[in-house]
Amino acid sequence: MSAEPVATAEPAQGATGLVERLRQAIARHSSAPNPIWMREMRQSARLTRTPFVLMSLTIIATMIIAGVGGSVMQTQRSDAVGQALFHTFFSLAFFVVAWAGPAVAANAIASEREGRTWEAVVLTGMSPKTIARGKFLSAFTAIASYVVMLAPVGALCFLFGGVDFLEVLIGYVYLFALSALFVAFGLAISSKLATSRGAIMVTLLLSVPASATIFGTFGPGLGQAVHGLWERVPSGAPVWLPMAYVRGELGVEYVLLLFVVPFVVIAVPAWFLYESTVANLTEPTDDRSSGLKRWFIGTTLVLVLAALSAMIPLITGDQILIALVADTTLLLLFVLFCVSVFMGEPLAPSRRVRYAWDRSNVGRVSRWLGPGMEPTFQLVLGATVIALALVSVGGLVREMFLPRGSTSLRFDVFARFVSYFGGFTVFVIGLGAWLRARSTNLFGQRIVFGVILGGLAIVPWIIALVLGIALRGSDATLSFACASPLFGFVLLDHSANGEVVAAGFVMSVIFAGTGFAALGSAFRRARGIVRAWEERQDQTDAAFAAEDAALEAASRNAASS
Amino acid sequence: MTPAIRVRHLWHRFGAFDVLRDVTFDVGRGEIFGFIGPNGAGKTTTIRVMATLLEPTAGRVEIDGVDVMRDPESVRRSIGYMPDHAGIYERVTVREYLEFFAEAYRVPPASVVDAVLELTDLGRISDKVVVTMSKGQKQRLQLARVLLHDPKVLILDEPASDLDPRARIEMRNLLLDLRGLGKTILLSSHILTELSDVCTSVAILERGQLVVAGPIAEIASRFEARRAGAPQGAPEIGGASAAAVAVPQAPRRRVKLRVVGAPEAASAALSTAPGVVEVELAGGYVYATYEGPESVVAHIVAHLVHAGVGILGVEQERNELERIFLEATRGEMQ
Ligand SMILES: Nc1ncnc2c1ncn2[C@@H]1O[C@H](COP(=O)(O)OP(=O)(O)OP(=O)(O)O)[C@@H](O)[C@H]1O
Ligand SMILES: [Mg+2]
Repeated sequence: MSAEPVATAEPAQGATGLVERLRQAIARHSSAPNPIWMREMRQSARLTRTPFVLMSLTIIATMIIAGVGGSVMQTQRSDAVGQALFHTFFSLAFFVVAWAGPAVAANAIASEREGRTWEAVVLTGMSPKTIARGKFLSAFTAIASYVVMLAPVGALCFLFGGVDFLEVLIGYVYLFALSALFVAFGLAISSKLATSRGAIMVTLLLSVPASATIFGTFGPGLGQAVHGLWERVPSGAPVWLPMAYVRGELGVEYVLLLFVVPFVVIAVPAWFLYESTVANLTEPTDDRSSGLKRWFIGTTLVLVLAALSAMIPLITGDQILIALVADTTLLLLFVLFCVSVFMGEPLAPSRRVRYAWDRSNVGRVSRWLGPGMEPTFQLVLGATVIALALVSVGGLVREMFLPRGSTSLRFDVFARFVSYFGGFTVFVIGLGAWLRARSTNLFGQRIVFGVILGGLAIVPWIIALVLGIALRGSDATLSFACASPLFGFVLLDHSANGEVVAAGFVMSVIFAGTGFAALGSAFRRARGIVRAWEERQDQTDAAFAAEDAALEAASRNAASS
Repeated sequence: MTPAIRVRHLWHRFGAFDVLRDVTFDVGRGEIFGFIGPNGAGKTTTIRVMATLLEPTAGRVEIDGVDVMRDPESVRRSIGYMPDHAGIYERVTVREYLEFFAEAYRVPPASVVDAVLELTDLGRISDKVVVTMSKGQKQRLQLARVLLHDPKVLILDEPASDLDPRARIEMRNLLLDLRGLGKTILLSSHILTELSDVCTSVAILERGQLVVAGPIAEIASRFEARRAGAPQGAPEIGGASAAAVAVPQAPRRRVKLRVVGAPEAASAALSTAPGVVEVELAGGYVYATYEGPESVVAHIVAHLVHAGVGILGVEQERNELERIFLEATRGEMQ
């Protein structure tokens, strides 16, 4: 046994150290491919069914494309046939990657847990990130090989004309990007569940309806709108996006629609899925939080920037108001999602994490961005307030540069809307923290969270309705619904009744007040729990120290006598 | 020198159930340590704490002087942990399997894999695909895996549980070889015979509590002394004062007898022999359990001869570990 761990050369100090470290990182990645990826490739090479699956897939796709081509050819010109084939092919390919991607990935981590091979991998000291990347690469390679097998079928559309080479190329780029996203989705589910069968069931249950919805809204739905913007993009075409790159007119809309939006829509979920996979692969007593919190900060920033840049092409005050309302609503939904994610935070960083911090001299900011309920909810609250403020100020600034004579922004309407939603957001954050501090059953608490918010959205309207009937319905009875977040949209009514506006204001104050109180109470409770636990640990530590000292003294006595 | 493994006041709770209750023991360097207990005693739970996979409710474990909670990374480098009933990737060859883990451990695969293959005697089948291998071969492959990074301490959870006698003997020899290489080995089991002749020390766990721990010879002589009627306070065993065990005053042992003619006749005669408390027939042999010193055997033989039973062979059953186990756990079991 001459096995000695490879001595990893200590990097030199200072700037050269950084360069050296970078160089080593690059060398490591280029010379040693991810071991998990390599192993899984070998394993699937031994699986005899893979070529058959790929072959049947190609044959089925060819038959469908040939069928569509044949039937369209009866009545249409050749370039229409080419376009029909283009849409059929890429729609088909979308569903192949949307269902196969998550299903293949779902197996990846759950199967190791189920087959009891997982612990051995963890104990090698391989980092959760390396494991996640290896698993991703293996599943992605499998899906990418499906896509590549389909490529000759897709090339058929060229034979008929009507589509550009560039359009097909961009179509493929999106196909690969979406495959990556779907694989990441399956992987995130897989990292959470204990059995392969469960993971595959859950992913399919989610990805089948989700892919249909995504296809419907982003495909024909958005295609219709884009046709309104750029006539040369065919109307209602499902695969309009690659075509729009070629047929759209350059301008702000072009950049926003074809670069900013696709980037946000793919990168933000992909980043989230990556971080949550890594967090799930990390042990509960280690740092599961930093990555997700970095994602939260990054995404908030991206959302603010996207919201601000979306205001550039606007030309009237009413449009700005609509944009502001849309941005605020989006932000609120985002915060809602993040609160339910961060309800999984530990009350405080574990001892293991703090030892690791102390060992590597981690600074205050990084610690604040690490595990712990209190800093996390502080971060969510702070980031949300800043984001809301930035977007609002952006709207006001944008209004100053509107062309003369266009309608101006109704500032009063905007102010009552933003203050109501702002108050409600604080309430949501407070509620999340309060529930987190109250129980260790995190799944249950998330359900309670959802039920409370759902009830809050609906019940006030029922009350308002009942009272409205009882009081022979005047407009003012609307104010009884002021506790429902949907009431915010009532406040947008320019001619809203004075009582309604007042109710909205009072409610926003109540929301914010309750939210802050709940946050305070949650933090106090968490601190109390942590302190009690620390005291117990300190006692045990003291007992150990005493025992160690006694042992040492005894051994010294034995040695001297 | 600090012990290889130090377990101190370990408590663990699953839900409302204390699975471990104040478990304390040491494993000295270079020992083969048997961690014994019936199903559900808490062996795997203790081992998972040692392997940094479980944070205990309270208590501390140090491996090679390093706290498993404080610095799990370096503990992982110094242990080789083989879980019970663990799986192996099925569609890889023996060599590919080991190369994967060598890369994961960041040790140079080429040299290390060959060394480990030779040590575990898997060299001949290094190109065999795992799915076609026997249980014994798979178990050796698992052991080969945990040797790749040359750990000082091996923690093996039921390494021989599914093996046939031959594979078990091979495993035992392998463990002795590894001990020869200076490794400390902790292995758990609920089958005593699979361990008895390799272990140097044991800890016996029952329902989450440590019953007894220490070198086998030492425990045996301590029990012997106590049986002899020495006044006793709380016995101090391996730092554990929890071993308040009802130790019977008289020791019990067994002899195996082969007799001429039907064993039933011998059995009847034996039941009236001095010191004999129990007689069993199995496989053509007569087993007599007796109380008292070894000299009782002489009386038994004389008694049989007197009763006209021809004796072909007498064999004292010498399984110290089994005796310790039975005596130590008797209080709980009755
Ligand atoms: N994750 C868990 N959740 C709840 N209870 C558990 C869990 N793991 C183990 N237990 C319980 O803890 C007790 C001890 O289990 P453990 O696996 O440590 O025993 P063991 O000594 O290894 O037994 P065996 O010989 O069967 O392997 C058992 O009663 C078991 O049911
Ligand atoms: Mg067990």
